[in-house]
Amino acid sequence: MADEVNLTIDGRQITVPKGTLVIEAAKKLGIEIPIFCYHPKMEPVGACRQCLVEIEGFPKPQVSCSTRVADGMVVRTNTPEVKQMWEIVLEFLLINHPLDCPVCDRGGECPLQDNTFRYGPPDSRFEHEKRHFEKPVALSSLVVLDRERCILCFRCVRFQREIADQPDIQVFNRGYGDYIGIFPGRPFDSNFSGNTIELCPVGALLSSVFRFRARPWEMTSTESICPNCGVGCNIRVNARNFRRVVRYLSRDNPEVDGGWLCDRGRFDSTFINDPERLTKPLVRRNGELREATWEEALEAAVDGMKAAGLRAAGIGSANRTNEQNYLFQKFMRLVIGTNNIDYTMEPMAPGGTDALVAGLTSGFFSGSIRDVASSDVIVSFGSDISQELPVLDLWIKKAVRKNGSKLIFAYPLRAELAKYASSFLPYSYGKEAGFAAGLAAAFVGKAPEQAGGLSGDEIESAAKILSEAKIVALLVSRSVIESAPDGMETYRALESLVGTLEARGARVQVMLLVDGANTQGGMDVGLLPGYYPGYRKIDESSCSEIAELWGAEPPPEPGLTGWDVVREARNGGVLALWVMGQDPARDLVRAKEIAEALGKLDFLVVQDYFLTETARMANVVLPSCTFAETKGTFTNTERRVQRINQAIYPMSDSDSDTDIILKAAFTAGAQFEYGRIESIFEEIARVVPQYGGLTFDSIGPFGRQWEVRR
Amino acid sequence: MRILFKHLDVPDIDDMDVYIREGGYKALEKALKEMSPDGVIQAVTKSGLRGRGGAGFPTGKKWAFIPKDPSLKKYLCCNADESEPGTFKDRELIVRNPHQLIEGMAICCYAIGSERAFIYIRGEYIEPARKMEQAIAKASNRGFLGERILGTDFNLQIQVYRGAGAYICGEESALLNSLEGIRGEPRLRPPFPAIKGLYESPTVINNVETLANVPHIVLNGGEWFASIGTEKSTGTKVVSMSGHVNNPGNYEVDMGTPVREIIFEHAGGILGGKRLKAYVPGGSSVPMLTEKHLDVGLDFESMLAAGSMLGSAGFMVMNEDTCIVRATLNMARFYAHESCGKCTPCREGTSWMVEMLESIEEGTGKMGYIDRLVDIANNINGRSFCALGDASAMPVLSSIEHFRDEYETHVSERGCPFAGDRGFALRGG
Repeated sequence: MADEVNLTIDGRQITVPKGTLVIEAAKKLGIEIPIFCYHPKMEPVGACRQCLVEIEGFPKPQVSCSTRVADGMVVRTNTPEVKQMWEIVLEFLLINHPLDCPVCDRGGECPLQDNTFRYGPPDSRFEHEKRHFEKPVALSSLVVLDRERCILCFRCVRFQREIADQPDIQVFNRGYGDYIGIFPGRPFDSNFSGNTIELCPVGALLSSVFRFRARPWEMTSTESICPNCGVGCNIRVNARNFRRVVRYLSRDNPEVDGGWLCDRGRFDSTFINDPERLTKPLVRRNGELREATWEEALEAAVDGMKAAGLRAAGIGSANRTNEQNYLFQKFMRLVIGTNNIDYTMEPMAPGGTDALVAGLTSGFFSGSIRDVASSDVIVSFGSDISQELPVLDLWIKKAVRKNGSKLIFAYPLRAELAKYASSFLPYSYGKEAGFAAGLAAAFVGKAPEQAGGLSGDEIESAAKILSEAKIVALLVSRSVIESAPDGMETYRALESLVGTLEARGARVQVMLLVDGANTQGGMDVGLLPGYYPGYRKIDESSCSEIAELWGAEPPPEPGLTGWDVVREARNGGVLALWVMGQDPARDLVRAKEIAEALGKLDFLVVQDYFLTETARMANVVLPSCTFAETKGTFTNTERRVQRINQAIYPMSDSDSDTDIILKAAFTAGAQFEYGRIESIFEEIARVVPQYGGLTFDSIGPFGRQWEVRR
Repeated sequence: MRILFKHLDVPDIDDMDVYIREGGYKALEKALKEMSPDGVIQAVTKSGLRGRGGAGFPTGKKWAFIPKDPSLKKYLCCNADESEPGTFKDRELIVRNPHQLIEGMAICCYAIGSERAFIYIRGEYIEPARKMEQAIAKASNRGFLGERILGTDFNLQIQVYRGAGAYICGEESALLNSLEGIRGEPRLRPPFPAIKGLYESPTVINNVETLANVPHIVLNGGEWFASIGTEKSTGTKVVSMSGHVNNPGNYEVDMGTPVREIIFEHAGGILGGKRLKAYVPGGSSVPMLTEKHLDVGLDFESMLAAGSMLGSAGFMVMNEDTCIVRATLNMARFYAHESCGKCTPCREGTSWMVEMLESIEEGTGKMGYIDRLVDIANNINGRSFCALGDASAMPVLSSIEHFRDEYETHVSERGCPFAGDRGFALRGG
């Protein structure tokens, strides 16, 4: 076949696709070639010269990282000459590399150490003074650089240029004086700077969070999911003594993160072992929060909630697991006896949640992160992705810069992605429905004069791009459907747009963008006042269906939304509230109104890691565990159910949210029995149709998407 | 024979009117009106002209690599960086006769279908840059450049771009980087510049002297040019003579002229009547030769056979009073200073060689350093990213090959036997 190439490496035949790099062909044969500058996700540069091999017909040795295979090529990596070349490059790299491995963070997981161990010279012939630089240099508050250790592979510079497209760091000076640095007065403030630390093959780029914290061999590594946003990047949680989380590393999930993490996620590991963590339950006595036993606290909590009768409510969390949220809503519905349950206190527009649920259950929102890579037009509507879902921003940049995909970026502000957009559409806040309708109309040749605060020309230019599209990835922020006005109209307009596109032969994948690590899962498992788990709209038949599944009847009427609770609390409509894993009193937009409402409550229970603003107002505070201390699942923005695993023991007397709810249920005399976290997931899979067939094991290390086929 | 310097005695030949009076721009007219682009390439191919920048790649072949697709933008970059130590021929070619170069560039652009050309000129060449700009302005006013040249539908704009003083930017792909405004470092090949060069477009990069030959080839035919010089090295070569000679300067000689004739007749012999010790025939990047090699012909093949290379034909002549270790150290320092730092062997190896050479010259070196220098040089040569690394090895390897005893004396006598001599010094040496 013309697209395949046969070659021989060390006497062994292999057939690989045309264009394959020699080093990748060797890898397929299990032949190891040492590297430093080469990285499969970046353009080859051939700079470090570590991977030199002999290729018949070439007068000089060739770098296997940048030479592409050719038919009949004969490559040798096992000759004495090649071994000698590998040795000398290591000798060259080591002449100026300080031998401070005992105090280097990278010692023990250092490619320079490893390559030297396998291929390096036994000693050095260099008898002169090593190169010196002032060190360490802080490139930012997060990244520290030791220029003497740097071997100038330029991976960091290339990552920032090629992948992040934020070329904040550069090579300065020349030759022997080369060093990596930042521009005067401009810190390394990329959203993705931490990846350069992980890419660095020596201990030159260091994390200010991890530096001097642990030796690599004394850490455990636990597969988990970053709890910071809806992308759900796969991470490894590194911990010491099963007690202390010292850092997160990436764990390449090619469907989700491509091996990258954003700084917001990567460096947010210190809260886990923060000395301010709550370790004891607190109960308010004589106006003050005082330490109490779990029994006392839980009894007070249950009594306080029950005293409110039907006027109780609960708020779950977008960063607690499916298991925790599922148990929470079940507890609220069956034990406290209310459907006043939500995942947020954000005000929703009338019908917004119904539109969202319609999109999720009809399979309208069935797209994947990967679709971004394979589409020729990407439409992003309503999200500042670079801030809200940072690693998705990398997927979009790659599609635009490498694949030539076109981006239509609809967002009220000139956010970072606007500069990658072929069409930037800054519609007016609150006019989402008008904008969506205008775009749909323009696409069928009925461009309005203006829509959503945009001119007809602007809308038409976007429609023109869409009209040439073959594969479209439409990314729709949850907020434009659920909380912006007229969400149902927006949703209908998008449906019509997609319908027209498909009728014209384009393939369209629509993905809902949610910002919390488990916003999606929270909704799936029932953190909605109008829906039972699995988006069962609350009515007589769904009530009896759930009653059968649970063996007990949930309240039959729809409950209050989180924002309704805020309003009702002010006039006595809600008397008691249980908040799990959220701090609404510090809401970015409505902190004052919410705090005021919380102040009016008779009774407030807060379940959290810290004594938050909300917890300070509580009658009972229950110390809970972070994601690193528990086990469970998160469901990300592409509806991928992913596992988190327990990395460390719970802090002191804190308990996992599932255990807290189970104990509370027990205190209230309810029969909630689950042997293990897996048992809760098994029940979710039975109760939530979207999760049907999934098991904790079948999810696997990289997760499984739930899908509704259209 | 004088081709490039044939007008050297004509006063004010740098003036466009004088140049035209002497037959200038006739070749451009002939090419544009009587020849097809392919016809020009064929003539240049037939002439056997090879690149004068040092590598000696056949010029006609290089031009023929440029895709014919008219929808592609193509560029010509004239390499006037002339950063090779001991080489100063391009400066004279530009200053003395700028229109000869412009005419050559215009013909090349016609042949390869380019409407935009750049002259990347060494930053220190302030006067040549100014001269070039004035000449381009005049040629444009007269219709030799610009829109519809000489009434044809051929358009061409030439722009002068001044470098900032890095040796590496004379390397063709680093030159392209520098021209694009990014860090001057060599690029990975493939893709070769003929396919993806300047701004990812097909690009020819030719040396000043190469392009200056083109009008003469077009005017007199490829066969005529091929009849000059040797069979494989055709035409003439401008030799820059420097160092211990009585008459330093540029001399144009036929390819194949014996070195003895160049040093002793053209350059007037060794300064002070001393004996010749060593000479570098092609800029510091080629191995040095000794008085045993005086009868070698100045052409690509003969120089290679003698163990060196023609290179840029920048001759550096050293007499018997020269300390060869010091001379080599000077060259080694140059390469360590100019290494761009992209690849490991060149970045680390060049400075390591300097350390050892310094120790030997200062008398603190060890006997083992001599073999170690050879080993390090051999490990830079052929393993670096670009030819700069290879070049850095040449002075070290050839000086030890020819003058090992002198190195040994430095070590055993703990110092330089040429005490008091300032030796042979390059810039900054």
